[in-house]
Amino acid sequence: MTSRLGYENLGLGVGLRTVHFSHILEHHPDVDWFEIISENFMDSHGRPRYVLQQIAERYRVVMHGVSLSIGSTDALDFEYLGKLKRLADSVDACWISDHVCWTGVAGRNSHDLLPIPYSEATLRHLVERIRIVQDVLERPLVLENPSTYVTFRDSSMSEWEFIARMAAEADCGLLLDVNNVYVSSVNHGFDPAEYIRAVPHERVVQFHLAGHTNLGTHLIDTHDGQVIDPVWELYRLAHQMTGGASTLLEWDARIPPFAEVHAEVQKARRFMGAASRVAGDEPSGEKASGPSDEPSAAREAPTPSVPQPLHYVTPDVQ
Amino acid sequence: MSDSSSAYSLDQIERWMQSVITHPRGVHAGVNSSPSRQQIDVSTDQIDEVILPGPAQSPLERLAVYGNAYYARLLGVLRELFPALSHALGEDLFSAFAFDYLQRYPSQSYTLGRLADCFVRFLEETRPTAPPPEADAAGPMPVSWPDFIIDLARLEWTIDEVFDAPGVENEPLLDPSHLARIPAARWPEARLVPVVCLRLLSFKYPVNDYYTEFRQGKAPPLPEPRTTFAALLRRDYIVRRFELSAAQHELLSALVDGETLGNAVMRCARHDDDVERLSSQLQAWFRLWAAEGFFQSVHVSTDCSLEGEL
Repeated sequence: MTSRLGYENLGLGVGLRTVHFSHILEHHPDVDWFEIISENFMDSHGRPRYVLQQIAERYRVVMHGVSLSIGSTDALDFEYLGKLKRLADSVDACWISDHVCWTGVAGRNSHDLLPIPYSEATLRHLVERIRIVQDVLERPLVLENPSTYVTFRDSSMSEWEFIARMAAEADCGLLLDVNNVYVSSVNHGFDPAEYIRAVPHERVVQFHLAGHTNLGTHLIDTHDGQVIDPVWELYRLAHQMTGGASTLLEWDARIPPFAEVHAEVQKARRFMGAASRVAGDEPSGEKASGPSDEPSAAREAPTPSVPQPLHYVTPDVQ
Repeated sequence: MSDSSSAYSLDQIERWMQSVITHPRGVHAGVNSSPSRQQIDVSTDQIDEVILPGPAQSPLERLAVYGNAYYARLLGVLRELFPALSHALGEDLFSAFAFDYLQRYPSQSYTLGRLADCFVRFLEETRPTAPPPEADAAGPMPVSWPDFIIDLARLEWTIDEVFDAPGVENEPLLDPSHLARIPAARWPEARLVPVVCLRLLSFKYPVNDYYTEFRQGKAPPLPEPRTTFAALLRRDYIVRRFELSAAQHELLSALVDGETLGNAVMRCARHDDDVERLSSQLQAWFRLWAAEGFFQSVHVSTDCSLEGEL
């Protein structure tokens, strides 16, 4: 396998969101690359697709999906995969990613990234499906660790062991969402630095960064604010251990002006040097036992707090 | 799909969890519900046989994160899809309708853009009669009140559909001046081809006006019933709305059906006793519609075809 599956480090990118379309087309901000939500464009015959084509002519584009449902026991949707491939070809997508999750079963879609038990049987199921998807897409798939809020008794291994074995056996790439590692570490009570150290670094194609919400008893991956300091420190560790990879900021709720989103991802440059703390000394940050340890940058809980994804394109109408 | 270390197959777990987190009365009721127990037969007292407690949450509290998010997310999307209807009904009543809709028509698509595919049908099937928040002050609601809800939902859903449907932004349209080049004697046999994104709607309530006032930030009152018509199309990636008369709606409907202009006018005349007045208006209507991009081309006969940039 080529290092990082042949996928290059694109630099610092921003998630493309509808509210920023006009700003981007008018000002052509100096962004290294954009990540799109695949499902928002694969059926579009209107403005979203028109804007995307213009952006793809100027910027490199990565496709990030929320409905592949690689962990579902429903049959793979080959019509969906066909559309995914056609969109990737039309915008010359650098790669295609989705999540280690399922979104629905029995023909339904919850539009949520639902957790799987980390067992041998689940591992075999995912590896087989990833191989099929990669054959259809004719490129290595890149899969992201989701934020999770439950632990199944049926799990027989840690999430990081599952993901490492999945990536090796299916020969796929990883999108390491550092904020998700942090959110899950608080929700499940594990050491996030151990997670970062354990994933196969040569397979990490991309990082995700985002804000989350502290509800006192648990964290929710809301993508509605700045990245908090403990997550930045985990990013520093991840960058150090992987040698760096394409890095993207997600901001999906209470979205500020583009310049603010762009400025947030550019903070990543500060954490690309040597680790400020010795490995093993990373801050544990927030605790599930209560909000008293909450870092200063963590947001108060909005009502309601909805874990991402929440993606819908509002029409322009006269 | 189970192994020696797993008590349940992945399929059992997924069907069980989906049933639990989408239960309309919450995850507690969901765990104890019959569909869930058909997959994994545990009660809420036995839930830790499937879900382990977290550092600060019980298994049910952890499941509730997903259960709460399921409805919050989808109700939020439906409110975005139907902002004027949500305003008209009030958030609580709209959410109640939308909540019932999600029970009857849960999403089966990979995209949230199709979440409301069956919403208008659902409203037509159920004809919800619950009064809006202002009903008490306004007196009894008209019997046709459900028609207002259905009409407004249909308008908003069509706007959303046209916004992202195939359009003609990159294609030549009929130039209005080309209409003048058709000899008068050939008009009856002419066929005007509407653009692919043209939608014609008829309503029992003036919901297009209501929607306009809502968009202007006003708080429009519930209107009186009145038959109205509208045309929607997309130009330059923006959805445009046009109020139509009954005769205009009939004329355009006939053209959409592929009728010749002569036959279309005949259909239209059934809605207007004053044929002379109708005749005098036709030219102005077609000029306006052509200028607004209603038509892709006009075909007169095999030896006389006028398209786009002629």
